[in-house]
Amino acid sequence: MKIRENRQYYTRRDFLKTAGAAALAMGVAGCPAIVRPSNNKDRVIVLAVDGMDPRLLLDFIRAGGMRNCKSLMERGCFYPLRSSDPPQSPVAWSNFISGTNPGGHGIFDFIARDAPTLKPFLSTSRISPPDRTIQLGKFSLPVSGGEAEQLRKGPAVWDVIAQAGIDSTAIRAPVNFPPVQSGARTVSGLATPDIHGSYGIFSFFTDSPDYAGGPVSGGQIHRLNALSGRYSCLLKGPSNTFRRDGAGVDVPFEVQTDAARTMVQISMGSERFILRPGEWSKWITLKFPMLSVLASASGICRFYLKRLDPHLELYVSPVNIDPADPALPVSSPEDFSRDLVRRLGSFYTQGMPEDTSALSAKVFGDDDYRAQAMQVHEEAMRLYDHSIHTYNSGFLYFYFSSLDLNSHAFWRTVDAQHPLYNPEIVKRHGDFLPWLYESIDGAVGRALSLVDERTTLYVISDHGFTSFRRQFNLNSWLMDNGYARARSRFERGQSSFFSDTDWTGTKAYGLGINSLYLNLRGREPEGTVAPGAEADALKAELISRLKSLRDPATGEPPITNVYRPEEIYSGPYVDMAPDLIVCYNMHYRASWDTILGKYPREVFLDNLDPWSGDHCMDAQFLPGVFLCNRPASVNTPALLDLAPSILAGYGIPVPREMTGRNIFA
Amino acid sequence: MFLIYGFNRIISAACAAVIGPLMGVSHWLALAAISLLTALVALLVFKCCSNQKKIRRAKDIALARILEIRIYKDDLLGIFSAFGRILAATLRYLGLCLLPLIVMILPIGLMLVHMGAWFEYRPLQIGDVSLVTVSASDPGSVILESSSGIRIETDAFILPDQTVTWRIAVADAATPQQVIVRSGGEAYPRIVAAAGTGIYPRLDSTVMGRLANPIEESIPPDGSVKYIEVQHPKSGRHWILGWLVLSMLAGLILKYPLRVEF
Repeated sequence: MKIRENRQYYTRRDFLKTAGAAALAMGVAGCPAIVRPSNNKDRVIVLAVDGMDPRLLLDFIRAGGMRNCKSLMERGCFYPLRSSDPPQSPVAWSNFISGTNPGGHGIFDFIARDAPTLKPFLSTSRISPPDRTIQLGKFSLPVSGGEAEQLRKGPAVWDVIAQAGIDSTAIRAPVNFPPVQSGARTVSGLATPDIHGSYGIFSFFTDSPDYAGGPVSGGQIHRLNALSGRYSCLLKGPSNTFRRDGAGVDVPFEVQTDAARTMVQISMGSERFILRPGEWSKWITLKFPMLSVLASASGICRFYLKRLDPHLELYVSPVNIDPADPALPVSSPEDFSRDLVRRLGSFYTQGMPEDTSALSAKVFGDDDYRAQAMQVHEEAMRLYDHSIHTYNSGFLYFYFSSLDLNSHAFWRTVDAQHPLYNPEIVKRHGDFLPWLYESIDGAVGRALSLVDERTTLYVISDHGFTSFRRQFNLNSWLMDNGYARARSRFERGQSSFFSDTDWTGTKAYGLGINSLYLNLRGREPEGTVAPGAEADALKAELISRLKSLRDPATGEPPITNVYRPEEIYSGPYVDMAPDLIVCYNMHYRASWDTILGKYPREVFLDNLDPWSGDHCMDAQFLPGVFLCNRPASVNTPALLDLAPSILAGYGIPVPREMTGRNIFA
Repeated sequence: MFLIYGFNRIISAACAAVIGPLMGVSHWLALAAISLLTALVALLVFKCCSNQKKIRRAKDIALARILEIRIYKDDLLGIFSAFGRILAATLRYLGLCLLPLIVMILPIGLMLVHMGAWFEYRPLQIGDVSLVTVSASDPGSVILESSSGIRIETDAFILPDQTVTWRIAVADAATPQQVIVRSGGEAYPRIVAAAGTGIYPRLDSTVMGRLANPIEESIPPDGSVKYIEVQHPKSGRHWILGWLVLSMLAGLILKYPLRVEF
């Protein structure tokens, strides 16, 4: 099955037409009611498929595939699902989980910033060191515990269900780190950090001259020297909270090659294993010593020997929080993850396990990346099958990450106009996304086999997908147009996170993918824009100028909408929102540099990163999927409507924080 | 030495007799049984090898001095003097316990080694990957063979420290599976995947090695092979702590019916 992105734009209206046509074609116009209204004994299964694109889904169905999804359409209904503004996964899934918009749950972008210090942080959780410590020489002994804080506000749908006394399970639940101990069984998914507290930092050890040592986005490349075929390596561990200087705890390991350089033996503490080129290790458990033998943090990682001849190239996955001995909580109750390890073996706890960073850094080739992505997918399927087999009653939510991250990585096999599209990659990997869709369809089939008249099955996605062809450097545009100033125009764009910004001459800055902030007096440390009329005027000016922009290479507008938060958000946390929300046109997105607060010289440029598909555009272009075996009474469901609908189905009072509608009423 | 080897075999067999049948039911049950046996034997050894009257007297004296501190709590000099006497009584008590403790060190130590064979590791199962490492005077001449349920996945990996390693994978564990190490006319079969037996990862020619693995044919000290090691996954059981707690509990309970003073 081959897929092609052959349209420049795909509006919601287009989508509705297509969906309607597909429904008619299948003879299922309307939604036959086959399920009686539910009560609090009913079973609800939610399959949350991150990034399942409704357009691709219909293409595959028309081509004779996705039979279980088609069957679900025929038994119930299928609609485009309104995503969040912006349609970023943490924001969108928070809409689902909390049943409200970002103004009600407080997640607006992957990255947020602390206004008084302008330090960026991951918007979904914060890990703080202990408040009180005793200083003892070079050691800092905690008197109180450190804290991992979930920043998503409002009650989660699975917690509300559990608190009502109904069995509730959420596996790989997004934006759920650290999990709330509410009575629901949950394992954290998207936005769960690795052991360093980041979204995942791989390590790559090599003696190849092709790689410069040092940090790359999402990873670290270590240059090695061999001594008689023996390499001494250090795997970076987390900061040691028991030390005053917070120095990292590194774990040494040794790589020994055989005389013919056909394999390596890796020795790491009590672990010893042999790898040949192209082989992956099993999960290796690491103990990072924090306080001699008294305290340690446990992590897990996998090794991949990419190449040995002529040079060693050894990849080590980000060190994941060990689900069998979690240094930070990844499940509720806390021993739930241990129980899963006992039954199924270890598994990725990192929120975004497919290592697209290694692919972007050219540490992985496409084949290497696909092999790793397959491991992630197979592991997820094992977890899923276990969840389905042990499911009897109540609420079950299962999150699949594979379609999203692999669509990001392999959309260049779909879009013939993408700068990285070529026939060779289509030939080699053009089958991967269709295969993944079919695999998800198989999972839908296994859930469908459990569906009886008391069961409601939802298959939902948080957004669709499109090609990411062109990058827009928002910060560079701001600088070129006098809204930002560099300390030195020669050093412009050299450093991340605004370290070369002259704040006294800066009025606005972009951080994160869709967020634009004013340098507001009294809020930012060196604010230049007065709140009130001046800020309002600046916002209006920026909105007008950004919306009228054109890409000189294509003539297309890169930005379709720029919203003030009060236009699209409501709720108690609107004040935390960015000052403006930038909605990109199809095929455009904020550049890689602008996301991290850089000012490169080009404003528009081609996206030459393998991360070739995206969804952080205008939400109206990229609805998700809503498939259900029950007929909905509205044809414009939104993610934020689903939690209230599920609770209403159980007869549980909907918390007042949830502002969505009951789509079955 | 021959006596110690014989004694070691008896302890190994006793552990296997107590633990083996119960492991299939629950490892906690097996641990409870061996802890009970440990407590029973230790109490009997203690009773036979110690002067029970003198131990009772040392304990009584220490108790009396503690009472002295409570009664004469206003007499600072008396309290310091009582502390000194408590210390003396305690040292005397420890001295009286020394002989039985020395007698018990060897059997308990050997027993812990054999308990480790049952509780520390888990048998290799289908899909498990492991390493077989052989130390030999001529590692290049060592050959590894395997039964049908074991797949030898790599060629010999020879290191400068005279060791050779192979990676093996378990394809079938329904029946016991073995590898055979051949070197210079010698052949050493080792069971690598079998449920319901103790797991001794290492077989070597040293005295300690022979004590640590009494159930397999030992390697001759003058042979070309020094040791053979089969990597086994750890079971993750906290068995030493469990054994300590359970055997102490059993000892505290059994001391009354057995009339043992300690």
